[in-house]
Parts: sequence; structure tokens; C-alpha cells
Amino acid sequence: MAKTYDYLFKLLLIGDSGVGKTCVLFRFSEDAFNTTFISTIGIDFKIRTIELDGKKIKLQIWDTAGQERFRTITTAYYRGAMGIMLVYDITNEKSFENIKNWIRNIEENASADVEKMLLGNKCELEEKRQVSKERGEQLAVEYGIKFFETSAKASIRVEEAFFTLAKDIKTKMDKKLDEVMNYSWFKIQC
Amino acid sequence: MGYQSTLPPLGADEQAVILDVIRRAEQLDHLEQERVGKLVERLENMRRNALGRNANQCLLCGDGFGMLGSQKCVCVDCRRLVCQKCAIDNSPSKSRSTKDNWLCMICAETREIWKKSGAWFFKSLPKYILPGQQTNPNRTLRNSRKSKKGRKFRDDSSSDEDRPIWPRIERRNSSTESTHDIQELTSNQLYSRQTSSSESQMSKDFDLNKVHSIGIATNDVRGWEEVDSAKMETTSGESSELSRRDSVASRTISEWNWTADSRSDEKISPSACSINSSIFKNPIEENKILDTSMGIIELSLSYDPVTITLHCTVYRAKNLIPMDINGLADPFCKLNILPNAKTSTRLRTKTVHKTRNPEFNENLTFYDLTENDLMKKSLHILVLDDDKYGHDYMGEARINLAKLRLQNTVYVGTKWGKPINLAKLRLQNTVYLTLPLEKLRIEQKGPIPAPELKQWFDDLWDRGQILISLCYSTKKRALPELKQWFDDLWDRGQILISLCYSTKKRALLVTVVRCSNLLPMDNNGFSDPFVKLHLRPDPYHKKYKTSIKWKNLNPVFNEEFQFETRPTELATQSLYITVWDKDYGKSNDYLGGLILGGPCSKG
Repeated sequence: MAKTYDYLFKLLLIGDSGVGKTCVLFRFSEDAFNTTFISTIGIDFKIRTIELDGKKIKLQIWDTAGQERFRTITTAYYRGAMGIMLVYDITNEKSFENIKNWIRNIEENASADVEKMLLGNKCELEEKRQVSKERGEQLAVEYGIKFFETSAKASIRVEEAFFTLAKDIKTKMDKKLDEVMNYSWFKIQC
Repeated sequence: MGYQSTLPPLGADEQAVILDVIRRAEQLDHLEQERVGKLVERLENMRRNALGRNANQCLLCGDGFGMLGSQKCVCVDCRRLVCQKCAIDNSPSKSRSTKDNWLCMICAETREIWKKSGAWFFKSLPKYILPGQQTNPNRTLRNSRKSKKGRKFRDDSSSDEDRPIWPRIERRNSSTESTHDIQELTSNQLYSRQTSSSESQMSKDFDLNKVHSIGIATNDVRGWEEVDSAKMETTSGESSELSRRDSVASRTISEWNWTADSRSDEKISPSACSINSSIFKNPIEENKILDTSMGIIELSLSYDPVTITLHCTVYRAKNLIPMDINGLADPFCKLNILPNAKTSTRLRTKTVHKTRNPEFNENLTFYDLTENDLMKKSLHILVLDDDKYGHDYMGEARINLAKLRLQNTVYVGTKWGKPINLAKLRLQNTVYLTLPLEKLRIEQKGPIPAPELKQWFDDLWDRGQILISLCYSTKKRALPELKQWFDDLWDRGQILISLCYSTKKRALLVTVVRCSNLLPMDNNGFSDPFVKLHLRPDPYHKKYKTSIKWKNLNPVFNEEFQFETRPTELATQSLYITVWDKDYGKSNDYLGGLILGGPCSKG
């Protein structure tokens, strides 16, 4: 923990149970993969510090349980998240369809400024694919968010996805700051 | 949360796992709070070490500006003057504007803290732990604006199981906080005796009621100072070394007042470099340096939800502008709950004669003010000069009551943009405020670079949109037109005026064309508006009034007035335009007004 960092970004992974949120996170944080499926209990988080434009950014990534029964706990973490990754499983049509519900969840619970990203996980299982890449892309466009097809197992684009999200947040931060400063002035004056 | 009941409850082992995660997260949060605390301390040290004492010095290093001195820049955030060494260029590389975009080190650091602490996202600083305070792990900034964040933290760790631990932490929290604050308080008190700055007034207020809630306010101020003008911070930061410096500080303050008081070219000079850069990014900016001239007012507010009354105690005002020929004034305060002023919501203090520093010490009570009303309304304090022939405007301040209730805090537009915490209001204690009176402000910008120029001003004192078209003609230049929109949050109406200097008549011609969307002040839902004009300083003491347009919120006047003056003098004069509601049998009501600073008219 002695490591210093410039910024702390809090990210959140959401999506149906079994889509591989924990694995994606595990891949990103430890660069490892575990084939046995252990359902996440409630919540968990991992830390990784990355460097972007010469700034050290500590990512605190919250992993949530996809199961309905933990929903109360997991939604409590939406508010604090600066970036949210919506994960679905490309071999599971249902998980893709549920993305809409997850988005609604975000709208209800998360900060309006939260940076979102769509991940289609398990893209190494091309033969079992149920959701085409185009559909994923289209959905992402619909919501105006970025989209990646990743594979935690084969380590495809996981890093890229997280780095992109962090970068987007950082960009937003720089832009936002002026706004926030003005906003605070505004408040002072009222 | 409702649907959890249909699902199986969490097992003990699951709870243990979750609690473990939460504990880990808490540790991390704690480290983060310490980190933010360190950043905050660093910033405070920076402020404390700021040397600049007046407009001719760099805020940070105290180097004088001038021919030989360093070049001065205006910080875009705090509007203070700093030398180039102490400022960094903030212009984004892609920015197309060529104008300077400097940030003083303090504001740059403030921004950095906002980034580093995540405040940029949550729009307020998270709670933090100052170094050397390790035993108080949960010291928070209790600013209401922080509550969102605070809640977030709470949410983080309050899944259903562990909720009971929170009250405990909160309690610990508050006790440690108060001890700390007493220290802060004492240092502030020390300071408060020495200077007349509004900051000191605040702290003086604090020692009036030594309860815990004060501490919150102190914290708050400190939290705000990060965002806030560094000037104020420098004054408060001095408290420690005060005994040595107090005289300097108070002198500085009076100097500040004086510079602005003189209401002349000089007033423009500190701001000139920023102002010339035409468009304000930040609506408040212009006010930062200039707005010290109207003096300050001290009052306290407390709201009693049981009897639905708002008690307002007006203590005193200081450094008011002179209104009468003898250089003094006969001030009194009018308090108004706006909008929708009923007679019952208009109160006034007694007049204190022949003074610029009146002691009112009066209690005024607004009855029948429900909490709903508070949400919508604001308290408007108007200081007027009691004249035999009507009342002249001396200054005003406004407190948004909604902010009192909702956020426990009130930020009053002030000379230094000083925030005032009203947390106590909610706790049903009394709130002490010191507000500088705002000028009828809107100084015109310096030399007009282009013949036609549109500028947006956001009007700070909630005045209403005021559309002014300025026509100024000299021999050299035929009627360059300057249009300005004064934008506002509270529609107090608009006024259309044209100004024109006639070289033939050697007079400034002011045509009041019309007003629109004025505030209704009478019970019939209308006002009876007329416009008063005077030029100040004016050797002739000319004042003009338009005719009264009865029962009209959108009066058309089309009346022209002449002020005899020389073009050279014009540069040092300001035109005061005030709109009043004519009332028989009682004094007229103030509807709105503005000052057109003379220096604009230089052409």
C-alpha cells in the first residue's frame, strides 16, 4: 500500500451471473485465470495501479455478484463508481438481453456522470457464440458507450478495455474540473 | 430494497465474507483519507505561506508588480493577481483562444486536489484525515455538499448486516471533531479581534456560541477555502502569526476597500488585464477583485420550525459608502423575503443617523414562513440611506433560504466569495452571518476593444436580466454600440437603457427606454415602477426620476435625461440606475438596479 498514486478511480463490474466478471477482473489484476466457477458472494474488489500519460492511477475495481439475491448490496456501490463495465457472455443470449436491465439499474443508482463500457466476454468460444459482435457494437452505439469483445481466459483485450475506461475517465476528469470549479463558484454566489 | 424479502437471506458465512470485503474497503478508504488529508494540509500550508498583501503584490511571493517587477496575471479561478512565476499556464493545448488562462499555484493545487481526491466526480471533497490527526479516523468535512459523498461512504460499508456500527462511528467522529475545532476556534478568535475582515467576523461569531456545531462551520469554511478565493485564505491563514502581522493585515484590508471605494479608474486597474480579455468564462470572476467597496453587514438568522418564524438579527454594518454631502450616511436595512413580497415579509430596522458604521442590534422576525417557503425564497437585505426625499440605495445582500434548509449552507455572494455555513440553522441554533454588501454591481469592462461587442455577464446578485445597449458617441467614433446581457437566475426584470454622450451639449444622455418582467411588489400583483438615475461622483448632485408607470410590470418610459459632465470626468463616474416601486404612505420598494461603471465609457 505504500505505493503512491496520483488518482484513484473506482470502477464497477456488473452483469449477469456467470458471464465472467470475476475472471475478467482476475485477469486484469493478477493476469491469471481460474477455470472453476466460484460465484461471487455479494461484492469484492481488486486493486491495480496503472500508468496513463505519466500519471499513476490506482484502480479500485469492484466486482459484484450477478445473482439477484445480492442486488441490494451491489447497488449500494453504484453511486461511488466513476466507471462501470457492463459485462455479458457472448455465448449466452440472455445475458446480452439483460444488459438493458443493467443499464436501467445504472441509471437508477449510479451517478449521472459515470463512464460506461460494454464488454462481451468469452470471445474465445467462437463456436458457441450466440451474440454476434455486430449486435454488441450496435447496442453500444445505442447507449453511446464503448464496446470490447474480451476473453479473460485467452487474455484478449482485457487490459485494453480497462485502460480505455481509465483513460476515458481521466479525460472526463480534466474536462469536468473546469465545470466543477465553475459550479462551485456558482454555488458560492447564490 | 423491497424485493430481498422474497429471496433467501444471507447465510452467516456469506455475511462474514462480505464483512471482510467491507473491512478491506474501509482500510483502503482510510488510507485514501489520509492521503487526501496530506494533500489538503499541503494546500493549507501553501495558503498560509502566501505573502501577497494587496493588489500591487503577487499573492504568493509578495513581489511587487510594476515596471521592474514581475508581470502580473490574473488567476482564472480566484481572480487574484499573481506574478508569472507563481502562476502556471492553464490553457489547454487545443484551446483556440489566445487569451491568458493562468492559474495561481494555490488554485492549481486546489484543482489537483479535486482531481486526486475524486472531488471532481463527487463535486465535493471527500472526508479526509489531516496528518497528525491519526487518532481521529473519521473526521469529516461536514459540508452539506459533501453529504452525498459521505452517504456514499456509508453505503459502501453499510450493507444490511453492519449498519449498527455506524452510529458508533458517527459519535466518535463528532467528539473528536469538536476537540479539534476548539483549537481552530481559539486561533480564529485571536485573529478576529485584530482585523475587520469579514472572515474575522465569522470567527468572532463562533466564539459567541461555543457549541459543537460551530466546529462544523469551521471545517466547512476550511473545506470551502480550497475552492475559494485565496485572499480570504491568506487572511485566515495568518492567524498563527497574527500578533506580528495583524496590523499589516488590517491595513491591507482597508486598502482593498479603499481601492474599490474610490470607484474610479483605479478600480479597474487590478482587473483590467483579465477584463480586457473580453469574455468571462466565469460569471463571478469580475467580482472577485472589485467587489469590496460597499461594506459589510453582520446578521444572524435562525429558523424555528415550530412557530414557523424566521428570526433575523441585524447587528451592524461596516464601511458603508458615504451618501450625504457630509461624507456620512443615514443607513437602515430593509429585509425582504423574495420573491412574492407580502407586506408581512418586509421589515426594516431603525435608521442610524450620520454614520457609515451603524450599529443596529435589532431583532426582526418573519412570521408564517413555512419550510416550503424557505425552499423557494430568499432573504434580501437592502441597505438604504434614509433621505428626506426618498431612500437611496447603499448596498444589498441576498441569502437563499432554500440553501439554508436544503444544504445547511449558504453561500453568499461576497467580496471574496466567502461561504457562510448555516448548518446551525438546521440544528435550530442561531446562525451568524457577515455579509459584505454587494454593490449594484456590473462594472463595465475596460476599454472596449471592438466597436461592437457582445458580452455575457452572469449577474451575481440575482438581479435579473438587464439588457443594456450602450451608445457612446464622441467626435472620433460614431455610436459604437455595446450590448450586454446580464444574465441572472432570479428574474428581477430587464431594463433597456441607452447611453450616449453628446459632445455638443457636453452631457451624458441617458434614455430609459423600458423595463420588462419586473417583480410585483404590491398586493395587486403589480408594481408601480419608476427609475432613478444618478451619476456619482457628480459635482452637481443631479438625480433624475422617470415618471411612475402605475400597475405595470413592463413599463415603457422613453425618457431622456442629461447629466452634464466632461468626457474626461465620465471615465471616473458611475451611473447608478435603480428601479423602484412607488408606494404611497410608506417608503418605496426597491425593485432592482445596476451601476454602470464610468470607465467603460472611455470608448
